[in-house]
Amino acid sequence: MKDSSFSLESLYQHHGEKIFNLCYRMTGNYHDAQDITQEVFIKVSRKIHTFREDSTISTWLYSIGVRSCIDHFRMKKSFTNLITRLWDDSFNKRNQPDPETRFIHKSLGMEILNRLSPRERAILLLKNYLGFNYDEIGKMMDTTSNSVGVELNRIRKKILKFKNNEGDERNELQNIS
Amino acid sequence: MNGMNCKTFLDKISFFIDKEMKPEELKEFELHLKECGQCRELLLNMEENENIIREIPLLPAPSVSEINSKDRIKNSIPSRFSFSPRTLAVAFSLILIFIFALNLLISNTADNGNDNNSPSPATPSYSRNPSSPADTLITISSGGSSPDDSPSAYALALNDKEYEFRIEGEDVRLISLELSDGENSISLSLDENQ
Repeated sequence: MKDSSFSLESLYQHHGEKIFNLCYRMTGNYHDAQDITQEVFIKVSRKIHTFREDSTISTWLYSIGVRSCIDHFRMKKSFTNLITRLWDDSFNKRNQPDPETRFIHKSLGMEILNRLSPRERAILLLKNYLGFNYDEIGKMMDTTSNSVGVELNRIRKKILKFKNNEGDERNELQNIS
Repeated sequence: MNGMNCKTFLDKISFFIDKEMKPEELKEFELHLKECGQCRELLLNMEENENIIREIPLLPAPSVSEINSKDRIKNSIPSRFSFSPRTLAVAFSLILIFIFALNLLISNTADNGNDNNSPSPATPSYSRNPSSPADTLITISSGGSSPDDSPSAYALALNDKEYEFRIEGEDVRLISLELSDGENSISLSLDENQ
């Protein structure tokens, strides 16, 4: 399966939903997820000739997706982008999610992801949501498979700590009321 | 008794959850799991968290046409130095604000500079060479009792303070005098011929 058989439309039909939901889980924002998904497929269409068959198309595609999301967080930190986003938030009400998205956004799963750094989210989602093995994740994140395991261990302990703290806070609130 | 303790168990727990454990480690891990209730509970909690994240509902992806068409289309990947029209508008506004603020600052500085040049009677000023009358706060007057007398006594007023000095002798035509109050000094020349 080489270049000619990878039509952008068929790639989107096969992977579009997963890429979009990966971006949503990474960013926690519906519109950002749409933008990044679009960006991913534009990149894919431009770089399809550089794709080597020593990795699967999905590994390549999701690796572009994850990198685009991490780049998005870097961009968000820049001053110009901060101003642009403030503009967006104030005038376009861009970040107001619809009721369904708002429900998901408030889910405990999203709350947990929100506590992690972009890289931690990426590693966890590549394993938990997309089911890649350590070796594949290592290639995508430029690290060794053993380091992926060690990082996942640290991430899971962090989540456990966060959940325990949340539980304590809830118990305290219940005791007060 | 197996060789794995709770710390090693905890270090390897992700490898177990993700089925990435080496077979020789797996046996020891499972043995420890049977024996240690605390580690068993920890594993259950971690697996529960994994399920919580896995079960985040799926959102429907935007359609191909939505991704490809209308205002969402981007004909090229944005390069590092390309900016959207919105970013440009914001940057342009910021530049305008900056120019306005700079202009305001410069005009204020100019006003303050002019203020400094105006005479200030409250500020004492001493000058060896009083070229500007505004700086001269020294007056000297003859202290002679009658107009026919040679002026031998003088009164010197330096700002608010008054000094008195006397000149002895009749042939004195030119006198040089230096006054000092410790911090500032002033020299005077009096020519009787003028």
